[in-house]
Amino acid sequence: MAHSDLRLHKGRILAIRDLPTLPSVLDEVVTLVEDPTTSTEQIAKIISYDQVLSAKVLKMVNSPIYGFPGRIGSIHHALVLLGFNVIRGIVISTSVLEIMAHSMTRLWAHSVGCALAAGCIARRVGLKDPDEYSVAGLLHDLGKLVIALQLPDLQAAIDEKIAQNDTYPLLAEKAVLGFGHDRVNAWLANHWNLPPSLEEGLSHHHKPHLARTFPKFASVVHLADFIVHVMDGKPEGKDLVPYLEPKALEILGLTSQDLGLIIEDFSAKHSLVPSFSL
Amino acid sequence: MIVVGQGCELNEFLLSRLKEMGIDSVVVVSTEIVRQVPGQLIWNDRAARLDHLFRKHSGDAWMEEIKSHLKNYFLLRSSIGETRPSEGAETADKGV
Repeated sequence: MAHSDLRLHKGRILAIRDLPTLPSVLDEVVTLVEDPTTSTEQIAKIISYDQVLSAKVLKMVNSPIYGFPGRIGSIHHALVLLGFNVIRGIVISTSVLEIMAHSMTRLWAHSVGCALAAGCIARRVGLKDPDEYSVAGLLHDLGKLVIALQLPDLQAAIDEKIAQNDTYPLLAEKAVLGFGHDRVNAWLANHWNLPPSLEEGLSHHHKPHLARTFPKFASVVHLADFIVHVMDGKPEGKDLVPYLEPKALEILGLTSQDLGLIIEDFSAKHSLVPSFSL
Repeated sequence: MIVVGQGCELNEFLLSRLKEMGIDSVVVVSTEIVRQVPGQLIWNDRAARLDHLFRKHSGDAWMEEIKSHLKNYFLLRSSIGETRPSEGAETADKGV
């Protein structure tokens, strides 16, 4: 892969016009959050001005993913229960998931499953703010969506390579583009000024053992992705489970024996997902 | 018009193929209904498809260990389903 090709593909990926745009209210909210005197009510008020966005956020926070089905009635309540980082992640993901739900339904279902699984894993391990890990699970394959949107001609070549070689999407992406969706995740996280923990969770979910600053974030998403592939893979199709990095279990203090417990938690929540839609 | 021959199992894969063909409704002609315990079928299915899903990892001792753990777990869940009455059976008995 010539270096010039790689730069060209990256340039097309980051062409701002067609990228999912983040709600403008987010910039205003981020500024407020940086002021220690800002109250939760003030932040909630700003988000609530965008009624369409507020409705989407409330629908998401009341979904099975966050474990408060039907109980959160206001943005302020959501902020108090889930915290700003989670609400920010949800605001970002509503923009992205809507596109997925319409044009890439299988990817959407996988992303929602991964959000559920990530939350289950984080709770099982006893990690602080487990809902932040759900956000990472929700967005972990964002790069795949952007590649499909920005490089549709090359997406076709990627799909062909996956089918012909019976290989993983990540390997096919690297063969065709010179980079994978995990690298795209890193570029987007940087472009959107996402928290460093989320950035590393998204960019290192295939290589959690290489995550330097937030290895638990990367390991949770890695394990969640693996579990969803195991639970949702079809016998007839080209589905493959990714390699489960043993270091990821070690980082989380888990063993292979714990997989059953996590699957139990996940199955119980996943049964509620068919009734959830954006 | 007959689109699926006698003896074919009407599973999810076949239904999705029919949908792709633009067929939005089907009439099933059958004199036999096989009652399955839904939970058992799902866990059994999951155990059965692990070899396919792990096909790229054959020969890797670690992944074979993981697959073995998962298979044992799915089969255990399936066997637990055998000893509990299914929800469907209960509701059927109550005439729901």
